[in-house]
Amino acid sequence: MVFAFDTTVISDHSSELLDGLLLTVEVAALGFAIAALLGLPLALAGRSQSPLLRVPATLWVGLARGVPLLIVIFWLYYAAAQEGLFSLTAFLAGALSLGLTGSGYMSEIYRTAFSAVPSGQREGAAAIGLSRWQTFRLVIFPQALRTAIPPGMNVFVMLLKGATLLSVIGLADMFYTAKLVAVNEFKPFELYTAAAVLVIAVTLVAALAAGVAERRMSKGVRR
Amino acid sequence: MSASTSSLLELRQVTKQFGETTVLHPTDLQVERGEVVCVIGPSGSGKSTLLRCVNFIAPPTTGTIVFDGEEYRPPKDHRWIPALGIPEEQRLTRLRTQVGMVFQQFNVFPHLTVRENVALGLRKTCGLGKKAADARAVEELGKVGMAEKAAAYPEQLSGGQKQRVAIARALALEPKLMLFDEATSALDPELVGGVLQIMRDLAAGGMTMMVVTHEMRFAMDVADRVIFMDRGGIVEQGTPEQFKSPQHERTRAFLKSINHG
Ligand SMILES: Nc1ncnc2c1ncn2[C@@H]1O[C@H](COP(=O)(O)OP(=O)(O)O)[C@@H](O)[C@H]1O
Ligand SMILES: [Mg+2]
Repeated sequence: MVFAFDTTVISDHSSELLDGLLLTVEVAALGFAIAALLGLPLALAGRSQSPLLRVPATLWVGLARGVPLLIVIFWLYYAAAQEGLFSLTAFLAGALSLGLTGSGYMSEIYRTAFSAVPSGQREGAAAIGLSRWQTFRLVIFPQALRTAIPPGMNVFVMLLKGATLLSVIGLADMFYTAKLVAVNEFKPFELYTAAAVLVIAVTLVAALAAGVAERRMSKGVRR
Repeated sequence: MSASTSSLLELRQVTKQFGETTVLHPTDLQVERGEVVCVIGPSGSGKSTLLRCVNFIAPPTTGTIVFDGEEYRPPKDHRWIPALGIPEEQRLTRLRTQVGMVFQQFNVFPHLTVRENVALGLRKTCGLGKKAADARAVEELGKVGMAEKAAAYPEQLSGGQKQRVAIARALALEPKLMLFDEATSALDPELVGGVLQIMRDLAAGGMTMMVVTHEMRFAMDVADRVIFMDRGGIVEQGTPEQFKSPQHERTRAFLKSINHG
């Protein structure tokens, strides 16, 4: 039997799929922004000499990386609402779940990036009378950010993949749309392939954008 | 006023430990205004540590440092609530703006242009505006022959040029004391002379300096006093003339070893 790959079913539903893709990218982007913002204070707290900061940060990072995304999603979307704690839209619950999970990974990435800045930079900054905070903000962070971009991009891709799980809480993302069409048209192979290709395409674009950003920011920094 | 308080810098029983190991044994030292002190000694003898204690980049474990009439002691351990250490930290920050330091590895900021490297301290610790800081930076760069490179990034510079930038960055803050930690050791031989000349000019201009160096010619020419360190302590000190016939066997052995490459 010759297997026929039916491209018409994809082109017929391309606008729905692209709408779904847009939503997937949006929720992943918001999730990533949350992860990148939360990760920074977490990384700093994790490097602090004070156990009062270090211990909670370490716990958070462990939890964020250890608890499966699906559980975070269910917890934020269903469990919290059921207990009357708060209720979020599927989009917000999704972005927040991705953000919380991603924060653990981003924190580790920042930490590694901070330690990659040679200790002489800190000393050079201290020697001209910069405070610790100035040293961090003006000398360490700008150099570390550059190292953090490629692995940070990996986290974005991870969240993009994770975003496909959000169809379980009814977010009409790309995977949700693909599943719907697949069931109606009896063409699961075509539609899931299309979905996979779209995710890969976005991933590639993201990687390219990261490359450009990294080159822009690496002005003068090359070791 | 007693003689001791008129010194620019005084170390009283300063020690430095890393964990269990003592890297600097109790050390007393006075540096007068305008004096050039060269510190020599084998690798690992504590020369860098001594310098880094002076500006608290590596805070001493015990002892007192008096700089320009102000006393500084080892900062307390505020491990649990680091914010409590801020006032002490601010005081040390003000000390550091008065003490310039030049490192073996330059430690210029690779993500900033040459001008920004020099302007940064002027803006953040002297409170100059961007325009004024940039103008002062270029002026300062001119003094070390680096004005044309103001817009370059450090990666485009030779080691000697990077070190000139680092010197300009320190001098821009008009320090009362300059610390040089093997400023020429990482340079290609042909670039050493230029940097040494800047240091000679600085000394001739009356700058108070502590210079860790292996350049014995420089030390003999420029130093008012030479200090020989070994195993975490000062073994012997005196004028360059006195160092031509050292008192201690360890000093003789060291001088012999460096003279024979
Ligand atoms: N951060 C540190 N932790 C532990 N030991 C150190 C540290 N910095 C320096 N030391 C030790 O202190 C000793 C003196 O070092 P240093 O002052 O750099 O010597 P020098 O500059 O004369 O070569 C060396 O044995 C070195 O290994
Ligand atoms: Mg040294």
